[in-house]
Amino acid sequence: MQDNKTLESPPEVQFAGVSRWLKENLFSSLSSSILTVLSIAAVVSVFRAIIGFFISPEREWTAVTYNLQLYMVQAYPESDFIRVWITVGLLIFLLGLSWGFNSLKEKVIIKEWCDGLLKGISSFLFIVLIAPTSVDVEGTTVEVFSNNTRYICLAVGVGLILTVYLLRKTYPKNEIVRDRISFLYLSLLVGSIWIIKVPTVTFTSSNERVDPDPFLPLANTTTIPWTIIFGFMIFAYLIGSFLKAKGKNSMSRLILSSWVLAPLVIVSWIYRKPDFGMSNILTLDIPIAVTFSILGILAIRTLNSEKIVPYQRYITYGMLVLSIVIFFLPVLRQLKILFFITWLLVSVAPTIANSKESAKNLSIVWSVTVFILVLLMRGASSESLIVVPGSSIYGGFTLTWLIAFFGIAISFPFGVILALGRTSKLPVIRIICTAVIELVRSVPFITWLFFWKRYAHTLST
Amino acid sequence: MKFNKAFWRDVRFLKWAGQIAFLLFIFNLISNFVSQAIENLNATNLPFSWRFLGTTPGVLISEGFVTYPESGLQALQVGMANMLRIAISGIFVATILGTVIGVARLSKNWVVQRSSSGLVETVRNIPLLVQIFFWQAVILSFPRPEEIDRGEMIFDISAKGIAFPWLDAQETSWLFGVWFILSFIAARRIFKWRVSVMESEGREAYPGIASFITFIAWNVGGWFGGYKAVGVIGFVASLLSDGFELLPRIGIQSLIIFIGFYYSYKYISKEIKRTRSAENRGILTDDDIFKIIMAGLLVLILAIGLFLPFGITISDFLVGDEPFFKADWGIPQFLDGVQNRLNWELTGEPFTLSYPEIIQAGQSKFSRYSPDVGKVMSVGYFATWMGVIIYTSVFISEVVRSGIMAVAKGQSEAGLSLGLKRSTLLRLIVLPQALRIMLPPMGNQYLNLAKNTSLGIAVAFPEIVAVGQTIYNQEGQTVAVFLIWMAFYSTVSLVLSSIINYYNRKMKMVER
Repeated sequence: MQDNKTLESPPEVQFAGVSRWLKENLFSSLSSSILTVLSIAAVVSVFRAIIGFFISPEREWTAVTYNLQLYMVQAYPESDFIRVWITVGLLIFLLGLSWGFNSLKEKVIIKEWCDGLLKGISSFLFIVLIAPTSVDVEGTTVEVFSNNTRYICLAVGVGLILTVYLLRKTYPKNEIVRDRISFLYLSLLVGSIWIIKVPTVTFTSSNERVDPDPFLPLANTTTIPWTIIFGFMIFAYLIGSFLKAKGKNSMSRLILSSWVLAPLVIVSWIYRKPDFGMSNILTLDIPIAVTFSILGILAIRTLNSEKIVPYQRYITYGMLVLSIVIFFLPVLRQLKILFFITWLLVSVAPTIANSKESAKNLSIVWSVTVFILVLLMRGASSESLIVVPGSSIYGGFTLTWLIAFFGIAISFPFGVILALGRTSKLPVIRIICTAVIELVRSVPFITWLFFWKRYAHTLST
Repeated sequence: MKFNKAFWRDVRFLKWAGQIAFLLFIFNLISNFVSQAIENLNATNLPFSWRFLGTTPGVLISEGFVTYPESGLQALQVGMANMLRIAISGIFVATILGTVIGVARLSKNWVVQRSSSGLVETVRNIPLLVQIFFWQAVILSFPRPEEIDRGEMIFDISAKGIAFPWLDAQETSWLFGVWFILSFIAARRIFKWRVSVMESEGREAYPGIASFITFIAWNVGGWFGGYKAVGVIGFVASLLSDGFELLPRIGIQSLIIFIGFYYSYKYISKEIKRTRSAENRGILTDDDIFKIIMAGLLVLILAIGLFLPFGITISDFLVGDEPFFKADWGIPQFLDGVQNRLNWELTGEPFTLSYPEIIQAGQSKFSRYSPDVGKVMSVGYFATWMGVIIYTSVFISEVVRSGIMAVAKGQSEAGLSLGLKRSTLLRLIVLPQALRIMLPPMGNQYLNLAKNTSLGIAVAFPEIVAVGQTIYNQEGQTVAVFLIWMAFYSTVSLVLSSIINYYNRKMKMVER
């Protein structure tokens, strides 16, 4: 195998020998020089065309800025937006926590960081330099990027380059933690939402559209929550780093399970606003959860005692039969699932809880699981107080990430089962799995989309 | 079978019982699924049937070889043809473009390397659907044809699409087409002959130039009448067609069944023979038994199916009124078609060049390109084609890059030290080895391209999914249309992957 680095990594930029670098990388031979000139011409013209296409007034970017709320949450009622913000905040809090906990605290030499920055700023300068001044709209020329703006951008860019260059010269050897750089970028981003102004569709008091669209700052309902969430993120990062420094390694499992739980909590409690009824929780859920956690703890304690050991197998089978029977009885859904989980506990407890320490741990995990499950099911099975006429409460970007999350969670185990089936030695199972795999993957995705849509439609009529 | 313990604890019994139970479970699942759907369809007064394939759908398809299809089947065929047009041309162009980008990413030139990396990273991180919409927006941003007076034109872009000159096929085009394909074979023969001369006599024999001259001379000669030699095929086809009509129908059925039985017998005896080796000791595994049973079963089903009024609705549209399976499979009609197209009595130039024109669209004030002269690439076609090509070619470029990088550096160094030129080195040493690594992932990319053409529905390009949707919205036969979609796409995938597998076997290193 050959050394990948020689081909992959870009040639080092050395300021000392610019002419030598140019000669080696751009003009090493006649054909290379011709290629360089041609490709620079191609890159410049393609960039000019693309930039002109995107900043042309025909593109109507106000359609995006005006409807951004629609893109994010679709028709979710504005009065309940606090729930959306709690969702975002929860996820970003978790992000900060796991970032702080898992961060390697890598250090970057300021010189290297500055080199990266210089590359970024010079790309920006390149785009500013080649951006077209005016574009052609239906036969007339419209100015989209005036030369004054260009000069201001260039001045800012050159100023930035000088600053970074000075920084690079002054502290060439000093190091900085990479996370701090990321937080610097993030705070610049959050700071910028207080400053920037975007073109927005506005109407006068007599309901006429203001033309041209005025540049307005972002609304407080956007800026304040993002700033608070950013604060929470820093806070979570600090907590995560603190826990890591204390050496609480069990936290990694807790963080992982929070990532699994968070979408479930969001779907069942936060986003739906369930009409659960406090009396239901007090008289039904909490007694059920307490009973089952006590039952489970008793099982964990007793199953390994010498008197019970010979009967372990019968208890497990009995529990299985009981849970199947209860599954078909008209009882609360919570009970049906809890009995199944108890059967799982009874069958694994003797192996896992073989010492006092592990029995204690398992009891804690069991009680927490039971409470969380009962509460999740209460939230999911209650009526939703938020009703969006004509569509689902999930829409826009919310739907995107929810489908992505649950899609990954469900398709991964299913894929493993299919893969195992395909490698099975039993011909019937192997052939069926192969058939399913080949049929599904040879037909385009959009066809399956229509297929399931029409199938659901047939069932509902 | 002898059981030496209780049979329900015997692993052989458990294995087969489990499989049969699984089979029954799957069968039950599918039949529930299907019967539920069919029941509901019946309740909506639209029972499952294939009849829509024969009736006129009365829809307009915006482009294709027929715009007012006479039957549902023809409408779907237009969709299939449109899909194949994009898929086949897309595969060729995406391969070339992908190779160029892949090589550019390995270039020593900084600008070339950086810009191609940027292109790859941008394109592959944007969903294909968004890219197709982008290309549609690009072409719609051109002025409409009536807005600017263009006069005489050769090549033109407007909001209605891209128009360019095109070769119009004449009567003799089929003859010339076959002649053209033969020219490739002739040129290849000459190339091999010159190479063998070069190898045996050790002198420069110019294989490339010789084969190129053959190619040109063959086609120039063909254009001015040489193509008539192909008429021999048409003559043979007419003889065969006459011969077929003399054969009784029962004879053809028996022939097909005989061939089926022969091959199944050969397969089974081969399987049994294979186990009679030292390591297998004549023991048939579950797998072998299953294969043998399946081989016998399939040929039995074939034999019974050929003599039964099997699926009357299917045969209805195949043959019209006859309730029996069409036994000659349309072979005489096909041979007649060959005879008519490859007739040596036809004369004239095979192709004529025509230029695009702008005409008035009906009675409206709008205008459009004339569909009869020149060639027009419509907005939907352009957007789908462009999106699919650019998207697939960046993935192909990654395949090419990884293939070239996986060839050990020592190989090219050895070639250079032998004194090979860079181009010869690439052609004779690096590429053959790289191709071997590239082929399987390349096949995957081709399959993806073929499947991704279905996104053309988003920009109203009438490929098979869009046409099928139009038809089932009109006739209500969703299940039938879905079955046709699945059959069509599975066939395309199978054909593509068998072509790739064939080349893969051919290119594989000979291992001892």
